Amino acid sequence: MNITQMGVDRLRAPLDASALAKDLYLETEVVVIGSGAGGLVAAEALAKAGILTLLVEEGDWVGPQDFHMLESEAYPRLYQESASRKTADKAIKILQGKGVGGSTLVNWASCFRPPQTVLDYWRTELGITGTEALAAPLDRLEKRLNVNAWDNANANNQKLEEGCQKLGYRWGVIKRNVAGCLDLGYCGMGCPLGAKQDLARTLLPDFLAAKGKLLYRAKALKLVEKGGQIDELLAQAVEGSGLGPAQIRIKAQVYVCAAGAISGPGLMLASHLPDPHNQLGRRTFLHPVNISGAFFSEPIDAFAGAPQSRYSDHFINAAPLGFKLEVPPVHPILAATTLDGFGPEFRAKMERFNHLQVMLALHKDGFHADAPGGQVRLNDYGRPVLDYPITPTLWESFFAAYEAMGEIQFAAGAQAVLPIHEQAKTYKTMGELKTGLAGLERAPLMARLASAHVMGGCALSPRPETGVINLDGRHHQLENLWVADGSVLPTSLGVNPQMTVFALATKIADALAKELRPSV
Amino acid sequence: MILSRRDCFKTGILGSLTLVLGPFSTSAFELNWLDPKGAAIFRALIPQFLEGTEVYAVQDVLEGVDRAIGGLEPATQAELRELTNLLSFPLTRFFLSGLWSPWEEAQAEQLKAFLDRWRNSRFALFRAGYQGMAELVMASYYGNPNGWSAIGYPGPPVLSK
Ligand SMILES: Cc1cc2nc3c(=O)[nH]c(=O)nc-3n(C[C@H](O)[C@H](O)[C@H](O)COP(=O)(O)OP(=O)(O)OC[C@H]3O[C@@H](n4cnc5c(N)ncnc54)[C@H](O)[C@@H]3O)c2cc1C
Ligand code: SF4
Repeated sequence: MNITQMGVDRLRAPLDASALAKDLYLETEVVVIGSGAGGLVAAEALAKAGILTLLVEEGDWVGPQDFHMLESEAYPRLYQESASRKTADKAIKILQGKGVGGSTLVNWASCFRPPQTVLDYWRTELGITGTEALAAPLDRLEKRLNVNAWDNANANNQKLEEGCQKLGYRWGVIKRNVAGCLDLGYCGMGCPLGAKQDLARTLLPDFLAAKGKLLYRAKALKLVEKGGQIDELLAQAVEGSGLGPAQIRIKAQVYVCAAGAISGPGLMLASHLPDPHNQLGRRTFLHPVNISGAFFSEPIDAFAGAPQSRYSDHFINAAPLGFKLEVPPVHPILAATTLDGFGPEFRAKMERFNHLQVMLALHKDGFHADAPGGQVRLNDYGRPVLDYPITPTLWESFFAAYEAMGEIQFAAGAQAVLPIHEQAKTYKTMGELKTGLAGLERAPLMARLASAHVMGGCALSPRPETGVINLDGRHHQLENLWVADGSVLPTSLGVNPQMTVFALATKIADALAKELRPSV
Repeated sequence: MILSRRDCFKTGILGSLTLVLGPFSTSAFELNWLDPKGAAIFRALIPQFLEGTEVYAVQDVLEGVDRAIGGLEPATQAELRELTNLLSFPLTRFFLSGLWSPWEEAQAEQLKAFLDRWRNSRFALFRAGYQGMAELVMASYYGNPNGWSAIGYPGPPVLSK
C-alpha cells in the first residue's frame, strides 16, 4: 500500500479512516485518542486555544438522522463489544459507548456535580488538591449543555419517588442535558431528535470550527515510546466489527489518551509503557449495580419517557459502602438479557413487560478497603479485560440494597418484587422478600450485576507511587503523554460521572494549553 | 448535520422500516460464525429457552444469535467456539451436559435439565456458559419486532408530523 503523508491542517473535513485506500501518515501538534466525555471536552479546549488538535475515534460519526430507536441496531453500532462487554469472570455486564461523542451519545442524560464529600476525601486522603478549579467549568458546561431539572417523571421513576415519599426517604429530581426533549425514552440508542445535548451535537461543531480535526473509524493500537517520550501513535482503520487494511501513523508533540476506562489503560498496557509502581489499570471502579424488578397492576411502560428523572441518596452513606438508587430505561433486549430464568418461568415475566418497574442500586466502590475496584489486564488477543473481585463487603452492600429497593417498591404499591438473581422467586410481601433474600447465594453469576459507570485505572495522584498521572494530567513517567477521561478518577463518585469527567478534562486541557501556549 | 424535524422524522421511519424488514425477513439462511455443531446446539436449546412463547421461528432466532456473535470480541468468540466444541464432542458432551445422544436427538426434558444444571451449577464457569447462551437467544428473539406485540411493547414511536 502507498502512503499518504500530510500535516493534519490540510484535512479539510472529518476523515473516515475506513474509506482510506492508502496508508496514512499524519503530523499534528496534539492528538487526542477517543472522542467521549473526556476526549471531546479536552480536544475542544485545546483547539480553541489555537492548538492544532487531531481527534481520533474508533467508532462511527453518526447523528440523530442515523438513530432509529432500535436496540438491535444501536448496541452493535454504538457500544463497546456490542453492549456485551463484561468483567473477566463474566459476572458484571459493562456498558460503554463507541462513536464520535463516546458514551455521551448513548448515556441517559443524568447530570450530577461531583459531591463535595468525595472531593474532600481526595484532598485529605489522597493529596489531590486544586479541585476548586472544577467549579468554573461545571458552571460553564451546565449552561452550554442546557442542564436543568426534569420535573416530568415516567411511571418507572414515579414509583421511586412515591416509595421514598411514603417511607420518608430522601429523594431528588435529576437534572438532564437536553433541549427540546419530547420524553421519548430512547436516550440509550441515541436521541433521534437531537434533543440530548451530547458532545457530538454541542462541542464538536466548535471544535471543527477552531483548530480541530477529526479522524473517525480509526482505532489507536499502540503508543510508541522512545527515550522517555511518546514518539508516535499507531492506529488502524476499522472495518465492520474488525480492523481494515489501512495503517495510520500519527506524529504529534503531545499525546492525550481519552479512550475511556478499560480501553485507555488497555491501550497503554498494550504499548508496554513504563509503569514502575504497577499502577496502570489498577483501581478501576464500576459503581457495580444490582437490580430489583417489581410488577405493578397498572402499566409502567418503562421504555417511554425520560429514562432517569428521580433518584434517592437516602442510602448513600449507609454501611458498608453506601449506594445510590436510580431506575433504568427498560427495552425488550435490555429486559430479556437482564431478567433471569428461561422457558415458561421467564416468559411469564416477559409477558408482563409493560408492568415491570425496575430499580438500580449503584454501589460506591473505591473508598472501603474491601472494595478496592478491579485491575485491567490484556487477554491472549492483546485486548483489555477487567478483573473485578466481588468481595464480601460488596455482597453485603448488594443484599442491603435488594431489601431497600424491595421496600420502596412495595411502599409504592408493587404487587410483587423480584430481585434479579438466578435463585430468586417473585415475592408478594416484605416478609417473603426478606426470607427469600436470606436464602440466596452470594456468588458471581447468581446475582445479575451491571455497570454503566467505568472509572479509574489511570489515577490522578500527586506521587508516582500511587497513580499514573500527576495533578495536571500528565503521565508521571512520560513527559508528552497526558490522560483526560474517566480513567483518571482516583475513586468512584457515588454520582453519575459525566459532569465530573467533563470538568476534569477541562482542567487537564487548560494545564496542557498553558504549557503549549504560555503566553495565551 | 442539522436536519429539520421533518427530515429527521422521515429518514427515521424509512430507516427503521428497512431495518425491521431487512435483516429479519431474509429467506436465504446463512450462518457466518456458528459452525454446524454450534448451530445444532442452539437449534436444540432455542425451543427450551423460548418455551411458553407462542410464535417464533427457530431459524430467525438462530440467525440473530449468529449475527450477535459477529459483533463480539475475538476472545469471546473463541470462548463460544470452545464451548460449543466441548458440548459437541461425545465424551465431553456427556460429561458436561449429561446427554448421551447428539443434540439433534435430545429430548426436551433432558435439555431443560441441562439448562437448569448449568444455571444453578456450583461452578461459575457453567453458570457463565448458561448465561452467555441465554443472553444470545433472548436478545435475538426480543430484538426482533415480531416478538414485541405479545409483550405489550409498542415498538419505537412513529415520528410523524
Ligand atoms: C448506557 C450508559 C448510560 C449512562 N448514563 C449516564 C448518565 O445518565 N449520566 C452520567 O453522568 N453518566 C452516564 N454514563 C456514563 C458516562 O457517559 C461516562 O462515564 C463518560 O462518558 C465517560 O467518559 P470517557 O471520556 O471516560 O469515556 P467515553 O465517553 O466512553 O469515551 C471513550 C471514547 O474512546 C473511544 N475509544 C476507545 N478505545 C479507542 C481506541 N483504541 N482508539 C480510538 N478510540 C477509542 C470509544 O469508542 C469512545 O468513543 C452512562 C454510560 C452509558 C454507557
Ligand atoms: S428522552 Fe428526550 S433526550 Fe432521550 S431520546 Fe427521547 S427525546 Fe431524546
